[in-house]
Amino acid sequence: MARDQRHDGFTPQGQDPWSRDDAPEWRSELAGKSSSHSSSHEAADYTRFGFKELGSPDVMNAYLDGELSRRSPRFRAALVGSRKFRADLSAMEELDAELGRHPLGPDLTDSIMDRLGRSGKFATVAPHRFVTMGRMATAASVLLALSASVLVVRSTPNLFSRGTTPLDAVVRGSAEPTKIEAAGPRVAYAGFVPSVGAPDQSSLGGGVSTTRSWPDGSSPSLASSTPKPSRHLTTGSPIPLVRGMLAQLGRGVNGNGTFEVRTSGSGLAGSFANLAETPGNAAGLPGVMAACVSPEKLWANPESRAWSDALVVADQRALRSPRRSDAWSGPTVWAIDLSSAPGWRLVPVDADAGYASDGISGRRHR
Amino acid sequence: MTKAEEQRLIRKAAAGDKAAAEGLIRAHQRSLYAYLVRLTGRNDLAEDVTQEAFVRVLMNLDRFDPRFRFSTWLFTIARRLFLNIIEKRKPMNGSDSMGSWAADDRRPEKAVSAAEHTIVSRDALQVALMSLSLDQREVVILFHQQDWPIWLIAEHLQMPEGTVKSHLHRGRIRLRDLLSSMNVERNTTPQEVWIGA
Repeated sequence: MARDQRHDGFTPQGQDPWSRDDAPEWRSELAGKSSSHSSSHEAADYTRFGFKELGSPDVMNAYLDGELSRRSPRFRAALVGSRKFRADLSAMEELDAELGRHPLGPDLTDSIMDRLGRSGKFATVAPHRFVTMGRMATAASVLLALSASVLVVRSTPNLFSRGTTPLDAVVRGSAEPTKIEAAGPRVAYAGFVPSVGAPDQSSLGGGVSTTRSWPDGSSPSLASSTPKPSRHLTTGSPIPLVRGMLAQLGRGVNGNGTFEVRTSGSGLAGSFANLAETPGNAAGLPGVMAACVSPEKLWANPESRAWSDALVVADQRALRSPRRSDAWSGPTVWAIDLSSAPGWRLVPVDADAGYASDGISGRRHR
Repeated sequence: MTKAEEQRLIRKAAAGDKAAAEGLIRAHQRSLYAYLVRLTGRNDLAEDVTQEAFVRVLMNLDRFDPRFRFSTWLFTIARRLFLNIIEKRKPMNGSDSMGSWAADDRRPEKAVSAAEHTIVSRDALQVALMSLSLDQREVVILFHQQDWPIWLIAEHLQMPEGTVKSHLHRGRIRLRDLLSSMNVERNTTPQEVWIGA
C-alpha cells in the first residue's frame, strides 16, 4: 500500500501537511509505489545508515522506513541477489499492508457530542433558544392573562358572579330614560340585591342571602325571604335620581357582586358626589347601605336583617338607622326587582305599608 | 480534509459551533480508534479512550496551538489516557521485559484481572502486536498504520529519532517472526494475550 494514499485525516493538496522544513524527506516508495527519490538522497541514506551488505536487515529497514528507493541500486541488488531478502520483503509488505488497514469501529460522534452537551459545551443553541423563548412567552402570556383578569374583575367585579349581569344591566338601563317609565318623587338611596333568578323569586324580594355587613358592623344572618305580592305605587318619576344612584351603585360594586352605598352627606346629590369623589371611603360613614335587602322583611322586621334580591331605593334616614323601626317610617323606598329576569322593575315601596304598590318595568340590556 | 479546512473547523468549534465539532470528530475518529484498537487490543477500551480523548480535546479547543496538527494533539491526549489506564491496572512500570510477558500464562496478575486484560481481538496480527513492548507497538502502529513519519513519532513519543527507528526495526523483526511462527501453529487454540505495558 502506498503510504501517500493512506488516510491520515487529510488529503494532501499541493503542500504536504506532514512536511517539516528541517526534516529529512521521509517519503519514498514502498513496494509498488512510483519512485521520485533522488539518487543523491539515496547515497546520503546509504552513508548515514551504514548498510553493511546486500540483503542485510538495514537495507530492508531503510527501504521500509522510506529512506531507500525501490529503484536504488542497493535495493535492486539485494532483491536480485538474495532469496531470503525477497521472502522477507514479501512478508514485510504483507505486514505493512495489514497494519495499514483500519479496524472498523462504531460512529462515536453522537455519544461524544452527548457527553459534550451534558458538560455544557456544544449544547444545541437553537432548541435552547426556542425553549427559553417558549417559556418566556408562556410566562408572559400567563402574566398577561392574570393582569387582564384582574383588570376585568376590578372593572366589573361582579363579572363572574350571578349578580353581576343584573347590576350592570340595571345601571345601563337606568341611563336610558325610555326604559324607565314611571317614578316616585322621594327616592333617596339605592341598594341592590344581585341574585336574580333564585327559584322562589317571583316578585320583589328573593330568597338568596348575602353576607354584607350592616352599618353598625354586625353581620346579617342568612335568611330566605318569602315573596309577597307587591303593591305598586303610582307616584312621580324618580328617573333622574335613580339614574344617578344607579350610576353610583355601579362604582360601589364589590367582588361579591353586591355593592355598598357609602355616603356621608346629608343630601342626595352631596352623598353621591361624595361617594364618587372618595371611593372606598367607607370607614365611619353613617349611611352604609348593605345590599340585598328584602323590602318585605326589611319593612316588616328590620331586626331580622334579611337580605334578598332586589335593588332597594331607600330613604336616607332608613339607611342611617336600619335597626330602628322608626327609621323606616320615612318616605317612599324604591326597589328594583330583578327577579323577573331578564327584565327588571323599579318598584316603589311604602315603608309604612311595607309593600310597594306599583312598579315600573323595564328590560335589561344584554 | 485539507489543513485549511481543519483549521477553519477548529476555529468554529472553538467558538461553539456544534457542526464543526462533529466534523472534527468524523474526520479523526476512525484513525484514532484504529490506533487505539491496535494499541490496546480491546475494542471497548479503544472506544472509551477515543470518546474521552475527543471530549477533552474539544473541551479545550481554545488552548489548541494552530501551529501543530490537530491529530497529533488528539493522539497525544489519547495516548496519555491509555497510559493512565495502564498505570492504574498494572503492578509494575512498563518495559520491554513486561512486553515479553505478553503471552506468559505464569503472570501473577492473570488470575486477578484476566477478564479485564484479555484481548477481544484475537487475530494473528493483533496477538503479535500485543507481544511487542508498548514502545515498539506504538512506533510500529504509528508508522505503518497511521503513516506518521519518523520525526513526528519521535516528537510524539518524546524520544530521539534513532530510538524510534530502533523500536521500529526491532518491532518489525519480532512481528515477522511471531507471524511466521503463528502460521506454523495456526491450528492451535486461541492465545490469551495481555495488554503489554
